[in-house]
Amino acid sequence: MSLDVYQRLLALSRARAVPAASRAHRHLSPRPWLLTGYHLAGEPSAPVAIRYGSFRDSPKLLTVAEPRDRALRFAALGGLARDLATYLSRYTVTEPVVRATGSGRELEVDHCCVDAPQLVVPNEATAHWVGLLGQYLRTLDDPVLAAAGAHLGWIASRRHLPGSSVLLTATDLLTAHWRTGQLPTEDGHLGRLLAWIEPPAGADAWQAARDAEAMPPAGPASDPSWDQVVLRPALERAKQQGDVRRLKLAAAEVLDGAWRDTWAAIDLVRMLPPGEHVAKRWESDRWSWTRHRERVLAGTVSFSARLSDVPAYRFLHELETRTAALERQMALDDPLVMARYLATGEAVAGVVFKRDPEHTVVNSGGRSVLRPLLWVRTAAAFDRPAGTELWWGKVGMVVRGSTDDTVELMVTSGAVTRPKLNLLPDTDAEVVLAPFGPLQYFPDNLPDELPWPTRSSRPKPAPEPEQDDDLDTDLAPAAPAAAAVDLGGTPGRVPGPRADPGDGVPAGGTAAPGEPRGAL
Amino acid sequence: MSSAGARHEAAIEEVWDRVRGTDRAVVVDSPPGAGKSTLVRELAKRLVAVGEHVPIVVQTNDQADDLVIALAGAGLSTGRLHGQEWTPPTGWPRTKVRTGTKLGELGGCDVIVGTAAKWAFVKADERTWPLGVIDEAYQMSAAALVRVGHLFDRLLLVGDPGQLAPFTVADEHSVRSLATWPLDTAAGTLLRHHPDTPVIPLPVSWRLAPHTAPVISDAFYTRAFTAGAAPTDRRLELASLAHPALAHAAEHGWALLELPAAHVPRTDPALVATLADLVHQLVTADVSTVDPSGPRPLSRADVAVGVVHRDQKAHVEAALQRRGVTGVTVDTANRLQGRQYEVVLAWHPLSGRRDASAFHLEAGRLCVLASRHRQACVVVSRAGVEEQLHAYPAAEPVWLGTDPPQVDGWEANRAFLERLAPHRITAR
Amino acid sequence: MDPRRIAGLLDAPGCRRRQALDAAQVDLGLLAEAIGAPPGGQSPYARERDGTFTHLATARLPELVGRHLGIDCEAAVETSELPVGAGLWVWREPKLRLRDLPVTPERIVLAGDGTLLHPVEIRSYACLDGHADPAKVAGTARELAVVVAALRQAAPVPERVSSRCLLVLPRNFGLAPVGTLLDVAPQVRRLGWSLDRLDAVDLPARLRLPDLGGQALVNALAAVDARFGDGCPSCPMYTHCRQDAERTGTVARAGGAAANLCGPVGTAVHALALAHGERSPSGEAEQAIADELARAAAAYGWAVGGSGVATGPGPAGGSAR
Repeated sequence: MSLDVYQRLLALSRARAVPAASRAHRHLSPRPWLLTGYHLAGEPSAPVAIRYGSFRDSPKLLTVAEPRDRALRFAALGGLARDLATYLSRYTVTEPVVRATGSGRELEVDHCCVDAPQLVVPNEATAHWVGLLGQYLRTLDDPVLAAAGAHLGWIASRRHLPGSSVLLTATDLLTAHWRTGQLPTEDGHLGRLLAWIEPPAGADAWQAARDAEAMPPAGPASDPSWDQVVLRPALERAKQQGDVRRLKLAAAEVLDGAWRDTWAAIDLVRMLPPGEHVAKRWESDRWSWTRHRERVLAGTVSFSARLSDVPAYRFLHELETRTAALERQMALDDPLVMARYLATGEAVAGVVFKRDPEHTVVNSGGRSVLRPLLWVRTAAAFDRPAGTELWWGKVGMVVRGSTDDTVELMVTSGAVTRPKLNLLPDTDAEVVLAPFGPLQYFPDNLPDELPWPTRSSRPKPAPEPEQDDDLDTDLAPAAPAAAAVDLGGTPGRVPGPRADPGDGVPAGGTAAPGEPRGAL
Repeated sequence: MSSAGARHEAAIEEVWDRVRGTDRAVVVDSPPGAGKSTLVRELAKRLVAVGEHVPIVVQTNDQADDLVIALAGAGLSTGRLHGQEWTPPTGWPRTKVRTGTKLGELGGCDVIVGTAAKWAFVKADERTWPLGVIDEAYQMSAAALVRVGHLFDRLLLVGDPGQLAPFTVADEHSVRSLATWPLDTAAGTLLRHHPDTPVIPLPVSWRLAPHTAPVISDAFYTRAFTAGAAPTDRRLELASLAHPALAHAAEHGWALLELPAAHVPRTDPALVATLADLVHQLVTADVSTVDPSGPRPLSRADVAVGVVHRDQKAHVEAALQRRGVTGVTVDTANRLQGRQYEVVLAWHPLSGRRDASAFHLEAGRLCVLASRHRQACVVVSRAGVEEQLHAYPAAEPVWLGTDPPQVDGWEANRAFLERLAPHRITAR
Repeated sequence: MDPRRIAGLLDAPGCRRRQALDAAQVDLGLLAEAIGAPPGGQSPYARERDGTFTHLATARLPELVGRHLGIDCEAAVETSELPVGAGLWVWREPKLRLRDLPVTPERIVLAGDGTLLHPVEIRSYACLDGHADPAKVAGTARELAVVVAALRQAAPVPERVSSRCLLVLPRNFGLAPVGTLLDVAPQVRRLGWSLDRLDAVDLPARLRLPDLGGQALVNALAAVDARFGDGCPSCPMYTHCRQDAERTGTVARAGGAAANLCGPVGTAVHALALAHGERSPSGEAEQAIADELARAAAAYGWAVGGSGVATGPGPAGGSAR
């Protein structure tokens, strides 16, 4: 989009980020739970250090002296699981909500949690890791850990839903509201991004970004030289001498930056007034949390990491619906977002200079119907063809023609009856005509099961032997041979609440049937 | 009958035999202009003649309207299942056609035509059919097929595999996290789940000219086809002072008109002007199109400009208006799908760009633009597209467990350009 | 060079500097030191995991090869040449060539079904529920393409080396190996095209000097044109080139989208002057860029100017179902 490029060029020439939004488009909890951490290179289920909590000045720090040791890992993750449970327990209060059911004509009283938990992490990689941690914890035969796994699973399942604020990444928070002059891929580095938005006094963004890069990475994968120079000696010492002080120190030092930066990102976005639709979207998250809690209490939580069959198609439908809804809501909430559509010429800004509210046309049934006309003076030529649909709030119109500085429009909905003519913009009103109409909900029309053309007639090939799954990473690196001998066995195999092929919907992941669609 | 005609007829009879046979599904791969619409009409006629009711699923309202007009013209009593917003187009038949938003309003129709989106509202407990026909089955996504598949015991899928792939507004990485790929084509998903399904390729393109069909076939299709017309069947007669690109295209079917290499914004004014000038010349000079039905003057409806982006369309239309030209179609690739013209001027998707992108490299996009013509196609581009192709990093993500695409966009682009090299004309 | 290095040819085929770097086979360690880039390399923990998994997976190869390629075989047999027939082989430190470039992988595992030879590759990134990081799989596919192409060059009958490879990854959170077939045919074809072009890379004479290092190396590379873009962060020259881009204020510093929109307009200052009407466009192309950016500038000005333009009477939400 051309506005995006323009903003990037501005940022580049000023060596400072420029705003890309004037409203906060993510819900920010008054008390989020932050998590930053590291795992052993290549082993997401082997955390080295995790810093987490809701209090900026007193985070919890968890370290694992031998991340590949199952017992030590259990103990550490157990602490995390209990603290997570304590945090989540704050979000159990519900309120009665009256809402329509079925055809929309009947009303019923339902209960929705008044607030929901929110997890904020520094970057995409950590958000991904949260999902993996949840998945890993669910394989463990420990009720506290498995419960934490279920909760993390729900949190992670909201990550890919446009408009959800249950799991936020600091990098996404910032890129949604600011543009930098660096490569878009470089925006994935939280330190660099912050350097662009708030460079230290006297420094330009380039220098500040380079300095930020020299700091330890925000995790969860650490950098090879830090592993070699700092982590390895600290882990050795902890393992051999039972002295974890050095490890704690190293972990605290390295996680400090990401912890601070994540809070800084929240602070920056908090300074923006929230967009009008943000609360509405958060309501959808609250319903999802409510349903997730109900499933947890009923013991019916089930997860499938990768959706298939009908739930996969339902997920696509929900993604598409939410993507469109989010774009529309953000543009209507925020002139800086609407400006993107003005820049591409999809939206029009101008002044109404003439109206003909009495204009009528003869419809296909031969009846004469009211179709008011509007003429808008624009700063630049509107180059979309006649027939293009535009909206002013709920008033829908089509372009009849345009000149270099005017557009002629015919109102086709929203104000085509006499009682509603007062909804038309007045002469001399400044208007922005958007390419978005009132939100429409389309049913997903999906069948209960896949029809024959999209399903194999042959039985599925036998899955690979199950025991493979549980060859854990507990193998000490020094003893690969011994591990190979163990292959046939199932050391410590524990059945967790695994995928249930009958119901692949991640708990609360996509809109469950009971969730009100209007809460998107 | 010509040998091409014989091969075509043999393919049609094979389709008919399969349709009357026991296969649960039959797929017909139809290259551009291979007679897909005629096939659908013919099969509908034959099925009605043996007492069947024929539901037909199409992808857009325009396709549905065109098909209904054709079926009614063939004397079939046809129902048009449509949405609330639909209004009949001009030239809508007065007899033989019923319309309705509900199946119940179309009682007594032998054939019922509706878009996939509309069919998705029909409940299987209302009615099912022994055989359903899906037209444009490569434009349709698996997600759309899932919503209508239960209505039919058997299916005939007809489509052109060289079309643009189904599209979503959703983030691709999120969709790829699924264990299935709901954006696969309807035909592709059916073939994956029912690999024994017979695929019958229509072997002859009746639209493309003898010298343009092999290029399209080689660059964009895995199943080869040839042109039905003989080299002497058609020609374009131009005034002697025609632009060299038009003159070359009239003789060879193709011209690749190259403007000097430059990185330009996507509404490249020089390209816009060149296209508008070529169109102006085509419709104002004394040009005749000749085919076995005889010569006739080239009309404005015979010419189309194919572009990549909507703003390009707006600029070309404005430039044509300035030259006093109206009535010439200017549209983007996805809106030109399924349409045909005598002469097409195509804006090369990669023209003037610094970097190629997956969008601009999509094989279907170039294929649609390059295969809408009966007589000639002039591809207009900035020089340097080869450089751009070579500079494109081979860094596409690879999704474990999926096969590489049958036709790779990068390779199709390269092959097409290579085949057009002999037809390169350098703009003055 | 190891296959990864040669596969790098596919990373930035449009950048002459990168092509020169690879064509001259510049030592990347020396280069990093010369430009002051972080040393990179692999974490000791990643190396350990790699070693452990490779050991485990190797023991299970006959089973995986049987299941996915339908080849009945025993444990891998050592070979020192391209094998023939059916079976499973390990070829350690083969000395292969791709065109003129030496290809020296640590080892190649090959499974033969009597007609075709399929490369088998063991990697230690996780395969979670059949899903692996698509960028990592793409990287592996490019490296496998180098192996396939080099083997084909060495084979008496090149077609006997299949592009269908068996990729072995650890499943989920454990180290149990799981196999997936990966067809690298598209990558092999692309590699062929890139190599054709590499022959045409005109190396500055200085880059041909063996053991060129330090500032001399940087200067020799800097003499070749670079093309800054979205893929640059993975290039060994990245930190050097981006400083260049920052100094000159090129629009490409802000990414490919900016560079594509700005076309012939090279610097951000120039582009913004056009956008703000402070400079008159020279020629039609600049005019088009100026129009587009001016529209963006006007929209931005409108939005940050904060004029209370209405987007409709009240909130436009609600259901129109």
